[in-house]
Amino acid sequence: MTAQILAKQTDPHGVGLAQHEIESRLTDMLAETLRIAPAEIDVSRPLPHYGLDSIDAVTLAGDLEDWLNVELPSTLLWDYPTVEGIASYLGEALRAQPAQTAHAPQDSQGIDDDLLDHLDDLEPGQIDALLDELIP
Amino acid sequence: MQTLKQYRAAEALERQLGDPLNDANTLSFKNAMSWDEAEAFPQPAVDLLYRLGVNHHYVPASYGGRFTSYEEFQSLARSVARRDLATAVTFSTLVWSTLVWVGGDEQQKRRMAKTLRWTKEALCLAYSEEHHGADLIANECRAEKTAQGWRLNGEKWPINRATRSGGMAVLAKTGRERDSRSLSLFMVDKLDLDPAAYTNLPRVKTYGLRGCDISGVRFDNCQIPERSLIGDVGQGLELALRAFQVTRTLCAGLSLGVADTALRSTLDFALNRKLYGGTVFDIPNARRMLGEAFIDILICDCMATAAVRGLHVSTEQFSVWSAVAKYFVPATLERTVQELSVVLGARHFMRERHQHGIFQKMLRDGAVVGLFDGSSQVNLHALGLQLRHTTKARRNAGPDTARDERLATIFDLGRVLPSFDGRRLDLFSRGRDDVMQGFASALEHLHGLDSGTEVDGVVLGHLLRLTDEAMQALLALDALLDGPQGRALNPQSSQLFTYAKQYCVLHGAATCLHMWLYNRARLDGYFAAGEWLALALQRLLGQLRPQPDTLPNAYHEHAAERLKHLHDHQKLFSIVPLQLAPSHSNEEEKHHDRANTR
Ligand SMILES: Cc1cc2nc3c(=O)[nH]c(=O)nc-3n(C[C@H](O)[C@H](O)[C@H](O)COP(=O)(O)OP(=O)(O)OC[C@H]3O[C@@H](n4cnc5c(N)ncnc54)[C@H](O)[C@@H]3O)c2cc1C
Repeated sequence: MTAQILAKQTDPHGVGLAQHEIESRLTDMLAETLRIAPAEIDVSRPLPHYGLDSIDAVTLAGDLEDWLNVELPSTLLWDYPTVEGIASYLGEALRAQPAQTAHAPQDSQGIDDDLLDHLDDLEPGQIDALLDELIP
Repeated sequence: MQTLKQYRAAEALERQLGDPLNDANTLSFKNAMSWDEAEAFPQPAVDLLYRLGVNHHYVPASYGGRFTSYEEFQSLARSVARRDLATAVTFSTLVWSTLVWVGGDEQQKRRMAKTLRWTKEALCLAYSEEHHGADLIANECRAEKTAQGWRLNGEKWPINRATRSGGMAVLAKTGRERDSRSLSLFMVDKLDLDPAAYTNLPRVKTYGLRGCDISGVRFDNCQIPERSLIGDVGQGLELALRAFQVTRTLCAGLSLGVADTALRSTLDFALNRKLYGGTVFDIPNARRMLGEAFIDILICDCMATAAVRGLHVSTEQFSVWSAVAKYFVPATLERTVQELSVVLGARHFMRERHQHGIFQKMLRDGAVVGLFDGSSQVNLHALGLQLRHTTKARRNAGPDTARDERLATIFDLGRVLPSFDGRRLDLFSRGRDDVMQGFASALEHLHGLDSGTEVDGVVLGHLLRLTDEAMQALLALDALLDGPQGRALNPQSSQLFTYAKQYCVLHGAATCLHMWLYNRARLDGYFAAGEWLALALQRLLGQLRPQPDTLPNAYHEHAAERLKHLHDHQKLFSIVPLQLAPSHSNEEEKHHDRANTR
């Protein structure tokens, strides 16, 4: 799965956050959900080890959406089960998303013609996301 | 009034299955009881359903089947369930084909269509293990990659139709321990298996569904072909949970079938049993209890009907909606049937005599619906976790014409549903719940009704008061969830289960209101008058806190009369009272009536 944000949001928060800032915020959220001290969470250890079950993980992806004001895959934490992994996914997705490039993956008609005209201006991450979407 | 198109198939099936009180019919109460007593598999009933082509309703039209909508589908299941839940639960394992319709490839879908349409090979769902029930991730049954496909090892138990099925949907471990991507799903065709590599586990003796094949299977280095894998490796849990959103929603139809028979059978007794110079039905409190059971059924009918229609429209929201329907309908109707046993008295305890003792069988069989396919606890848990999000989304939701349009499509029973698209099922609704988000605008609509011309002024007054109370209760729940105390709730906190139950009750209130507003002009006079809605709202609010009965006694009386009317005319206890199989004597009466009116 390529890092991507699903739906167009007019105002994603968190663009420009550094990786470690995302990690630290994530750690806090997890600590709150799991009722443990943030210091106990190792960013490279899979979350199920801390007792985060599958359904909790889906809900936590929802909390991340609320925080960042973007739409994410519901199974994000299943595919990136460590703090480090999630943070790098989010960092990449947010960088690939200066407002108009956010998109819904199943909906290739949703791509702005505008955007196709400006392919040359896109960053590599954006092009990847676009290709992902066009080639099923 | 003409039957709505989506209910014609059920009316036809009713005619074909015939009156369950007629002992000569295959799906009679007498037969259902004798299979139960003998713990015998209901083979004659299953054969009959195949002969009538009910299996074709499990296959989408695009694959040559007769599936049109989950609304029609559910009405068929309800017709079977009201006769014998064991038969319904046995036959309906075909619904596990949903896994293939939702997650399979073209080849797998074609193969499934062929199996369902042209063979009598049944399916079963092999998820549970003796040592692991709801905690699927903990499963031990394992699939290892081999050169030709996969190799299965492990046990699945207790599984409905494990022994008597041709295909098994097996959830097996393909990855690391508690990883959500550690499970994969296989549709295993028994014909592909070396008979020495799998064993059927002995049938379990059960409290209800005593004729069902509740058994299990053990795999010993059992080789299965590559094409058995549905979706991708690691996609098992995701697919399982998405398909559950469909099947959990459909469980409501099974409970409604059971409740229909429990009430009909009790009412039959109440109308005919003579005591104190009258009948049981003449005793005010007995009549009140029958009327209340009827209102419970109408509430659950609204919820079940809205949900199956919602599957086609607000598909993305079913992590919330399926949990509401799967918890609320079985739990409510189980209690309803329990309460009816008080009216039926001694006969509810007998395995013979009054209607062959069908009541106690329905009571036992019905108890399984709240338990399998994700128990009440599992659904409340899943719902509870999402409540913070539904609260927030509702707060942020303003007027939304797209939502209004979705609500109109769902609730106006005359509207044609778009075809179902399983790809849209999502594990998380992002707080969206159209029924609840549309509650405020439904209230506005209600306030805008013209008292006297559009609806009786007194009824409207009660509806305004009761719906306002429901809205206040919702706001109070929101405040609890969104306050510091709510935010600090542990995901396993029992408080969350209580909140989830309350949310279900309020969801029921909003659903009944929407249903009434959208169909006042479409359905019959009793529905349109709205007294039932006032009774329903009062009953729902009573689940939140004790309520004095503030409604005119006439509403209760009219509910009991309506119930008797539906009973006397062999109509389903429903907001859409479709025509049930006529009994012989009534058939003669009808001829007689017709002759007289000519
Ligand atoms: C008649 C019948 C037919 C069945 N058919 C099938 C079938 O066809 N296929 C199949 O795979 N399985 C089937 N089952 C198994 C059924 O689905 C299991 O009962 C289910 O998996 C739960 O397992 P368990 O009852 O062993 O309890 P466990 O999962 O071990 O749970 C024990 C208790 O813990 C509590 N609990 C569990 N999870 C939660 C939670 N998330 N939140 C709060 N409390 C919780 C509940 O109170 C629960 O009763 C069938 C069972 C019966 C009785």
